[in-house]
Amino acid sequence: MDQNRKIVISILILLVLSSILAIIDISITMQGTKRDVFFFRPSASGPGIGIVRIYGPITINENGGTIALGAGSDSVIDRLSELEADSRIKAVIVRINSPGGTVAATQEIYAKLMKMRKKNIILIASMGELAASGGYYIASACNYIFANYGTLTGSIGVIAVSPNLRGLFDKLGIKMNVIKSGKYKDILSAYREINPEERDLIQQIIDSSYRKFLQDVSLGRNIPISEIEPYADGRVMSGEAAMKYKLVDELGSMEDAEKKARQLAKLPDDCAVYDEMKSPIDRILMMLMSAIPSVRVEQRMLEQIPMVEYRYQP
Amino acid sequence: MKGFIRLYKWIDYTYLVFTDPKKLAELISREETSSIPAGFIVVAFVVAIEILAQSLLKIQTPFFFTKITYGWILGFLALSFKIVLLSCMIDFVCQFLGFAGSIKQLLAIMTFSLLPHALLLPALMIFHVFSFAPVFFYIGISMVLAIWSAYIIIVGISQIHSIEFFRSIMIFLAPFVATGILVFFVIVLLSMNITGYLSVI
Repeated sequence: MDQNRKIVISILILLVLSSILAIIDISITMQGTKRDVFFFRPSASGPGIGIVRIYGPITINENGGTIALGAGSDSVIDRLSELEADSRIKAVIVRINSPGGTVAATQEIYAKLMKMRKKNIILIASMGELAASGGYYIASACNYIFANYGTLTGSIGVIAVSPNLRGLFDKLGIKMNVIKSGKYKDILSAYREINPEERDLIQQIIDSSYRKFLQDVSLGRNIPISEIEPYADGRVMSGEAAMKYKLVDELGSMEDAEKKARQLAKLPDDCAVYDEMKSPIDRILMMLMSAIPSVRVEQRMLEQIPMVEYRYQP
Repeated sequence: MKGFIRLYKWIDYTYLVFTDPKKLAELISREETSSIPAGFIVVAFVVAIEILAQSLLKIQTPFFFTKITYGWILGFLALSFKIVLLSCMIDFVCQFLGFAGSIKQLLAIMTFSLLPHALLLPALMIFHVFSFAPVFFYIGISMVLAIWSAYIIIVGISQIHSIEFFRSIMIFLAPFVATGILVFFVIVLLSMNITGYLSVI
């Protein structure tokens, strides 16, 4: 067996040598490899920048839950609270790609951002394709706003839309039985015309929400209402035009926003970035969810609840 | 265990894995207690080799150091668990068919049967250095080595229970068939649940 033992030991030495060679090969190749191949930021530790993503229409209950980066105000506020409580976070980038949403949900996010701003957490807004109406409202709470040249933004205003199906109902011979406690209880119903009194009531809500919008943008941007008002007629504008009207501070990408955040928070160039992108499994589930958008739209249409919104509705 | 190392028995075991699995099973039957810890050293070694081989094929990042440290420990625990589970299942099948149970011997055989996998790295290094379809050869060599390991286990089962080779093949395959059926039903139920969940959103 002695001869055999020598053979076995030779094989084992060969195995150990090949393992050492493999480790050397991997280590050398690693030095020439770019970072961030598989992971967003592998060295996420220490003081850094937090990222919050607000994508899609903003509502209270459209919670992303475990499998989406939902623009439900609850999930956004939860994420902001996480960042606020984390002592490592010195600046937050609010990445917005949204046409806006309901008044209350938008105001909740705005209020949360203002609270963080008072705590001296640097807030930078980075606009994507669209940051209109409520999307802009939220951005205005940030210390600094970045938009791309082609970003659609602005649309400062309030809208309430209700379908009038009276003609269709008459044609089909459908009549609604309504028993109500007050004359305005079925205001904005789809089955009858709106009367002037009701229109005035809704207009009051719209005007009040609009005034609040202007006040908050004025406060966040630190410019008088009189300067914003001429462009706050619901018009959408490009990032370039928004910069001209002082609605944004600079034209730039998400990368520029990160750079600015580092600069304002006095962080080093290689500081950690804490993104909220989820695990690969969550991303696959998100893709599956986005493949069936029609289900959500149909559900919303079925509900038929008229809402007052800070929303860009082309 | 000390004697196992001091008397160079581990070298004899290694030699027999590659040359005579039948004799290995005989040896394990005689000295089952001392060979089990050595068997788990083989498992740890094979996991390290597997991690290195896979890392060679991928784009190298600093994550390699996590894989070779924490990943190695985790991989060792996972593979050990799989081996223990498979040993239990095979032992259960043996007892079900009326043979005497011998889980310790099975465990030792299964751990040593993994030793051929250690050859994966030097073989893969050749194709990696010459950049000659390393992924293809990784899969090919892994499959050959898996068949080799299965052969060692089957010979071991046949030797331990003194049964014919083809019967031990059936015993070896029974847990895989049972697991396959179970996984199939789990996937069907899971798909039904996911479809149901997505349809109500």
